[in-house]
Amino acid sequence: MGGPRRIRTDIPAGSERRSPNAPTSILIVDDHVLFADVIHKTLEGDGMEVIAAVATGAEALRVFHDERPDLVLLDLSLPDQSGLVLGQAIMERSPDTVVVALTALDDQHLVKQAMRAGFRGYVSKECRVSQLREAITQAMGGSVVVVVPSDRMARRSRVSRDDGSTLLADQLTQREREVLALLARGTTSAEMARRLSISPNTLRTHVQSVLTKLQVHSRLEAASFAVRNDLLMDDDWRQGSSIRRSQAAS
Amino acid sequence: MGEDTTEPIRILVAQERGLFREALRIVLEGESDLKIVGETQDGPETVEEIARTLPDVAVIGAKLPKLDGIRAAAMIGERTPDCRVLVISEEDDLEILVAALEAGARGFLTWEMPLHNLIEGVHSLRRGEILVPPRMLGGLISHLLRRRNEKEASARWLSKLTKREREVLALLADGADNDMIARAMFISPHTARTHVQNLIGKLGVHSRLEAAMLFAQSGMRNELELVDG
Repeated sequence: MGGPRRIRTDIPAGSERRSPNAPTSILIVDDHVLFADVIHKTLEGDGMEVIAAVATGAEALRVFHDERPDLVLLDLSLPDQSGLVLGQAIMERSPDTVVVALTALDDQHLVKQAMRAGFRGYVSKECRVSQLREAITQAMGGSVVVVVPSDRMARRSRVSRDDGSTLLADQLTQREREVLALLARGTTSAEMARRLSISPNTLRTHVQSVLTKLQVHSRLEAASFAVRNDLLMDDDWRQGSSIRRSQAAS
Repeated sequence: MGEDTTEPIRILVAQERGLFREALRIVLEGESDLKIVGETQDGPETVEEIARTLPDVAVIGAKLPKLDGIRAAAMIGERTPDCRVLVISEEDDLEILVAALEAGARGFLTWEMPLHNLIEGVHSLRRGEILVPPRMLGGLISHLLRRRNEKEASARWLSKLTKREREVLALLADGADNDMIARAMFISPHTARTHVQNLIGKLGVHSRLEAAMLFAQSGMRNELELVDG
């Protein structure tokens, strides 16, 4: 273990507020103590600083008040209050704090609500450890990250997908769909341009075109649209899943 | 016991949720005296993989898909009896605990318990101990005592009845009327009615229905089979 991992560390202007070498301090909120402990140890093994793992919203607020972690990993189904409400309360007190949902619930509506509430990420408990690590890094870097099993979202969305959204989505070119899928994963502009082998200017044009066609006003709204309408692309999930198993085994 | 404790404990992790399963493997692999030999995510796969890899301890979720952890524990007990099963359950439910122990699980933990309890639990199972959350121990003991008392009570009732009356009671509990009892036992309906009245009197109940319910609730059918067998 140890040594830098190959996850990007580019931080968009304006969101940098700490030394890039300081470990990310994290608060875990989950009433499944066993789960929280296991994630705690895993992230610590990756060089992150886990301040505490707590089981209730009340404890979370107390620890948050005293310790001011950089990032809060928040289960959405807590015994004493809604994780969504708790996340909002934390962000109201400290807008710089990055709040990421880590939950077994994979309801698209909830993903949308969390994004609206200002969550920087929504990570399914079905994901890989590498995806959680990457989501934390990306969220800390200023991106919005959604990691959900796309097959499950797809199955549900087919029942509830509304035709208006489908019409909007159908206007997207293949390239624009790729851009949207990357955007929904919280990929930064530089990384998107690199992956699609296009210039930052061309990328900006694509992104603008996606926003216009979907009739949304921000990348975040576009990401939320993509999640709602099953436009994350199956490849995306698999790609994320295959990130170095070997690292976990060492 | 006579086991070589310098060998690492070989563990299989069977959990339905990917993130927990993988993170638990990473954490347990960090322990020098533990060795992960398998990782599975549903019941049938778990039973197969345990038969193939022969772990010392299997840490399995109570709600594994396709074949839940309790039923999987029973099958593991049949196919790979040397593997000790530790069930992790979401609820601290006495019924699930009892079902797990009856299925042959040697340990039971809930999600509310901290990681060190799991790690210590794996070691105690390896030593041949039984692991039950201390908080649930009281409930488990009174459950077992109650069950023994019920058994004794039904045995007492049963001892008051003649063999003939016990047969009548079993038929009655299956919903038979006097005519059906008579036909099944090759006796006259009148004799059948006499048997029924006698057993109602001996059991201290007021109706056939009550007698049948008492029989069903008390587990006397098993007692009957024991007596007859």
